[in-house]
Amino acid sequence: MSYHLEVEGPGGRSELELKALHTAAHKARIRRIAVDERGDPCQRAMLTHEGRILAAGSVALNYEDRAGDTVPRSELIATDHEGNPRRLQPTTLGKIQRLEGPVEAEAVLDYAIDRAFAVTGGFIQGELRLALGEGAIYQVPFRTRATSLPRISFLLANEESIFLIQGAPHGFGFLGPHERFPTREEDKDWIEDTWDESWEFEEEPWP
Amino acid sequence: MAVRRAIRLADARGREATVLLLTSPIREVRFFTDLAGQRLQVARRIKGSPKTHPSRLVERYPDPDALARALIQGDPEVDLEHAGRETGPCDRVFLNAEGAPLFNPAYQEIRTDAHGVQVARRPWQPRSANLVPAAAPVWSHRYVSRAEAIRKMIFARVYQVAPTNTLEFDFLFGIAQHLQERGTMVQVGSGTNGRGPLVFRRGGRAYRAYLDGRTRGEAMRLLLYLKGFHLRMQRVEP
Repeated sequence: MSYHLEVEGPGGRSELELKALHTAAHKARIRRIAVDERGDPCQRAMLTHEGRILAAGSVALNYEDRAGDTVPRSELIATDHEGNPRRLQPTTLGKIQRLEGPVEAEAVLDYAIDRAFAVTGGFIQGELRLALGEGAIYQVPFRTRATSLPRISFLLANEESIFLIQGAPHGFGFLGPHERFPTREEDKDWIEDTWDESWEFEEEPWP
Repeated sequence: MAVRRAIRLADARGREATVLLLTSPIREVRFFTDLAGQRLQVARRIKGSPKTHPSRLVERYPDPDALARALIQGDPEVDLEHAGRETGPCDRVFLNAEGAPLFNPAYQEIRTDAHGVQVARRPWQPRSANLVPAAAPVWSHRYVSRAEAIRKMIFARVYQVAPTNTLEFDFLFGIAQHLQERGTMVQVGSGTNGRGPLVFRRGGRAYRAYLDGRTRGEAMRLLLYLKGFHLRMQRVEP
């Protein structure tokens, strides 16, 4: 799927056709599967504590009110822990966005990048293309849909092409000499280290 | 209380210490309300059971017309006894071809080429975690400028390297200062040259990792970045 982004930057208005980068595209992959005693692939399922088997597609995740009635997703309003509605930032598709910068490379390292797009077409002003080729990095709003989560996007280039990378702030600050951390984290029964297995990392080649 | 993840690091002078890895302090916890402002809760409810699953219905009624008639007349796709109930706590299991649960299946690795064709298959050999190896780690001396790193690689996960005491703080401050003075990141890894992949948990994936360090007066920030993949045109989805 392609996205169209119009930006105002060096040299005037540029139009970018963006396509998402996929870790598994055009690359050998290694994946792990569970097999039974005959070597046939197994299917994932859930087993309730009552002994009921729930295969894929057997469960619905709903938002319900106190009466137990399901609320459609179109009527959901995201809030913070105090009940204040989170500001919904609209999609940037179809609206001209202004490039900010150039920014320092260090600025990108304040974020964990979780999406990347390649510029596969469109029209880029010569000044912008030159600046990107010389290493300039620009910050640009880019949201494919409305969201209340903080997202930041950067436009940059390497030897291969021009890319747009997107992520969220990691929030790490500086530690002073008197700060030290216990080896165990209080008020937690588990480490909230959610591992997004859908974000496939490059596998090391088999020896 | 949960145990924090630890990592054994070396510095450019050959000293080493076991320090902590902290996850992001930002917790994007969202709640939802309805249009009236009433807070909602998430419920996981049963839609169907194995006997009402579409694959079972297709097996039971191989003729499409017979299946259509059955769906209209008898509602075999609805499990009247269980539909709508909350699932409650669940365990993950695997089902064999007969639909029976397996609690300890075997695992295999399948290697496919760039076109998705299977080229090899072998029993899964889980990698051991290597963040805290028995042997002392080695400084890799593989430096990369920040500008080059962010233009070539996606850093999808970030950890903060943190001390448990003042000696460890001095050790980490030295690394951060070293990297700041050079204006570079450095690869951190396993093996005799310090450039091998890091494995965070047994059976987990292997990652290339890089350290970035900055100081501000007496304070420091040392972050461990895990490489997701390279920014390459060939990764554009078809």
